[in-house]
Amino acid sequence: MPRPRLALLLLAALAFGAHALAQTTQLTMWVRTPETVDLLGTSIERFHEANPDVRVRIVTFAADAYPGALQAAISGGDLPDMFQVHNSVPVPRLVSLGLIQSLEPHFSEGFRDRFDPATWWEGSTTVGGEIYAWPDRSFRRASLFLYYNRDVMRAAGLDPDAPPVTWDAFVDQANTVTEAGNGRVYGLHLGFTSGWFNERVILQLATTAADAHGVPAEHLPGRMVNWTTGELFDPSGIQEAIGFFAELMSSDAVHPDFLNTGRSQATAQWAAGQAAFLFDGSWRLQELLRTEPDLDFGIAMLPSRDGGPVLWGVEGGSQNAFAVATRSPNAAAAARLFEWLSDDYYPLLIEGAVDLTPIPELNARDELYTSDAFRELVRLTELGTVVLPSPVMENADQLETVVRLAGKTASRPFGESMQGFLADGAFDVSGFLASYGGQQNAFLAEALAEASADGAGVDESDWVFPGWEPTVNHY
Amino acid sequence: MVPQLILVTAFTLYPIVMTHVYSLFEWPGFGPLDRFVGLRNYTRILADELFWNAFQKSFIFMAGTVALQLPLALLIAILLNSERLYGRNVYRTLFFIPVVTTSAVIGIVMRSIFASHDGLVNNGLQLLGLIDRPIRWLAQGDTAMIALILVASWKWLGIKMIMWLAGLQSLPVELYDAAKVDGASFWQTFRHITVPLLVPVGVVVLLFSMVDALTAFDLIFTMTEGGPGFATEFMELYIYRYAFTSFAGGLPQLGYASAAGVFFGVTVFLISLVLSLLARRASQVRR
Repeated sequence: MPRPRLALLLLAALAFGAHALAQTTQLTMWVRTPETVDLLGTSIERFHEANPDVRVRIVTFAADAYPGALQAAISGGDLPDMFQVHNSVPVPRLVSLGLIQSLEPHFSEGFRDRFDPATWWEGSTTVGGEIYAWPDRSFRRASLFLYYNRDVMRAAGLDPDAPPVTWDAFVDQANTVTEAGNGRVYGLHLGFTSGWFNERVILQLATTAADAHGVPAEHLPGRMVNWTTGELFDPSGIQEAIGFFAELMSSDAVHPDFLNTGRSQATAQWAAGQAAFLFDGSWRLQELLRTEPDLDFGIAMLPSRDGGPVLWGVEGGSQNAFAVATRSPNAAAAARLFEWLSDDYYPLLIEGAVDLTPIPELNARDELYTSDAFRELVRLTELGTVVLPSPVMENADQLETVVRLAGKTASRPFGESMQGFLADGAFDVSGFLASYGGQQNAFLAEALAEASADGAGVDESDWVFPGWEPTVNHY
Repeated sequence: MVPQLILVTAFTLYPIVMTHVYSLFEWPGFGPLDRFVGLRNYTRILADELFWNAFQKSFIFMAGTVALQLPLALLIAILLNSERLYGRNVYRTLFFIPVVTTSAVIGIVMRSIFASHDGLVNNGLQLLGLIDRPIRWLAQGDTAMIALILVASWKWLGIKMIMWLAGLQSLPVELYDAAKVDGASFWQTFRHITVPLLVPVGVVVLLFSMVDALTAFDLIFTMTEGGPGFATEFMELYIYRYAFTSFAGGLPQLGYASAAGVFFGVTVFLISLVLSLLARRASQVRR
């Protein structure tokens, strides 16, 4: 072929390609929950086939790196089309800064009716009654569990189907494994290097202590609210939980590297037989099922002082919802994707043993449950996850208080302090708890005063629920 | 000249000026910069025990690495400067490899090497009969600091060795010949010729060692993440946590972090200034 003709053909092909690209809506989606990345990817591939005019590019982040990336994108005016919200910048703040747009006009008629009504929760997925964020899973999420390695238990002479339920039983079994392991195998392993994770471990264990009154929750990080009194941080029971850990450490029953090992590495070491028990999140289950198909393991509730449920608080809405940036001209395409994902990706959540969905009808479909371990996880979630009271539900103006509270942090963070204490012991725990709790409770008073000064009709009475029962769903 | 001025203004002066401006505001790093708080961020950092902890740890780390690196690098430089040593270039390259290796990779690898369970260091020490049971190197504050000092010193040893070597090779050979004729011993030559003539180079090596120690973020972040607790949380990590993470579950505090950065920056600047004056004085003495 003569060269000029070839060049013309190439130019035409390029022009056609550019035109096709210009016709396609490009969406960028930031994801910070590694357990859902593959499922979203699978569903989005199918979305591409059904919607050739839209291309979605997923960008993934490590959980610890996400707040910084989000902050940089916000300050640089460079938010992607769709991104997962984070409690460091609550949805109402994003709305008040004009950074995200309402999805209400873009969803089909009746879309929201399929969902559990508590999914559309003021201050989480909705603001002023309008939908601002699409939930990536059910709000009824579990937090931490006990994973037990049956092979290691068997080797230590323990019953592989009877994991410890109480603290005393746990210490006994962990010591048995450690003694049988002869310096190669330990009772417990966990990656105790991230402040938020350390905080959850200690605070959740503390909910079962003899004099415990508070319950920790994902939407109130660093807090242990006693809803009967309205105290933002009730330290009762925390020292007892720390004592449980200290007892395990004193007999070398915890993996010696737990204070300097990340959660993924701790899981790998536990799966390799270096420990019988692992404390980790519900999110670890799907990874174990996928990457360790031959591992004989089970899942149970974290041990509690007397065998009762270890509690974790939730409210409606979604802590990992996706919002659409105001600067994105593609909100309609994003809403179309969210509707697709609600049909196609939600079932994958159950099939993939990741989490429940916000649609009750899907959660009830027995054929979606492909793993017994996930069924057990769901059962345990029902036992330990409680819906907490919400001041915003009592008084919508309290949203102003909640937003202000998010900006207030104690001078010495809880999770890192616990790591320091367990490392060296040279740390006045009771003094720390008194100071930390005092600061947290002062923050609530400050936030209420600031909100009130800005015209919100709020006072502390909305934070007090005299009849509150920690083990009972409030709504 | 003009392009240079633009670049300096955009990438050096502007960030420095804005850091000072941010330090006077309560600002999470996004949204309007409208909550002017004057010097409140500075009074907060002065009252924050974690700030002083990070400040103190930074200087302990710096003192440890400098004390270890300077004499060791000089010793190696003297050895490698000897014409009688066979394969000098190979050794020089070997000592230089850690310098060009990514700090983050070193941090991750060292985490395994210093592990309590099956770590290379513990296994070696047990094999030599020096310890009965593994040391929890990275799980205790003091030992984590020691491990970091050892690793950082090893990482930067090569560049300091090269600097010393350059200094040694610039010394006038006649002086050594004259000392030999006078019957001076190796130690006398070292004490009365090499050391005095190397002082100006030594000040530069010291300055670079200090700067290296105060900018070790990647190594520390990957090896200990500032832990356990706050035992190895140096100033860079402290500033990073407040500026870019939801430290303790709240909003980032870029204004506060800027104040900490300004305070620490001024301290480092003053130290560098003193050292530069020392270097100039040493050069003048030499002349």
